[in-house]
Amino acid sequence: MDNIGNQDAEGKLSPLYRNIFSVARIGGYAALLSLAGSVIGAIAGFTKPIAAVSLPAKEGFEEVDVQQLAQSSTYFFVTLSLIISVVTFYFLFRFSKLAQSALLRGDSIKLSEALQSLAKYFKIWGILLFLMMFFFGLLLLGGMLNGAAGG
Amino acid sequence: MVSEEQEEEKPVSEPDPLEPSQNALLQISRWTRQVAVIGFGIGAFVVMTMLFGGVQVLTTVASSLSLEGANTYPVLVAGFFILFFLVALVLFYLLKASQLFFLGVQQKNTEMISQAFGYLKYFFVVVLVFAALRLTGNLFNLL
Repeated sequence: MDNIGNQDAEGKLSPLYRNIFSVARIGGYAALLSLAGSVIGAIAGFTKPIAAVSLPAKEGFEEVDVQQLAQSSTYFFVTLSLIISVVTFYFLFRFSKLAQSALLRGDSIKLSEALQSLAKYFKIWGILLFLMMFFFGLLLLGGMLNGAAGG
Repeated sequence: MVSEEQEEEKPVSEPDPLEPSQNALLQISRWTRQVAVIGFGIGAFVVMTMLFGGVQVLTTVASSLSLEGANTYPVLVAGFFILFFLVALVLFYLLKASQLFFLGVQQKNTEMISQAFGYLKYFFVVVLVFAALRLTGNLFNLL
């Protein structure tokens, strides 16, 4: 019943607010699915050990050490991915809930808060992508220096 | 006097056209542009990498998958191109949304802001599809 009421109210919104409402609804579903995917990925990462690949022993490390290092880095990346997912979920889901309620109640302050949350969601992704590009750049530079040194 | 019938037809009370949200919209515009530009930068890096060592990378991935009787290499190449163009499309939507948010706030044009939210909607639809695929993949990985 409440859903039908919401649909009626949504139908009375102007095209602008209807578009914001759609973004909020789809964003909410995307946030939930992303978090679910990350949690299940984390469970799989922590419970299933990585496949034993024959990694060559390097620079004084035993083969077992290399395998442990690979396992630890998997744990690190799984944890990092989970933290990022939780933080982005919080902002996107907050935007979704606040925007939908603000539009149905005609609360412009709440709508502003919702849009601030969306801005923070994109800000996090902006910073993360910047860091990713920075590390890609370092990798490229390292590769080029290694090539120039004849390694 | 307003009759009851007119009262019923009145739309749901709407906030003043985004007046208090202008700062938030500008922030969204700024960060969506940053995400799109960096995304295109990373895409260019990936293209360069694939131009120089793509065959080797894809052959290694295909051999590590080693599905019996299946020729995984062409599937991987096709998958890479589909993924690449989907990501490019998503970034294009973000860039368009960013431009329209900025112009909409500058010119106080709600039509442009509405279009920007339309592009953002397409962006989140693709994010939703990727999230569903990732969830399915992780579930298969867990089982």
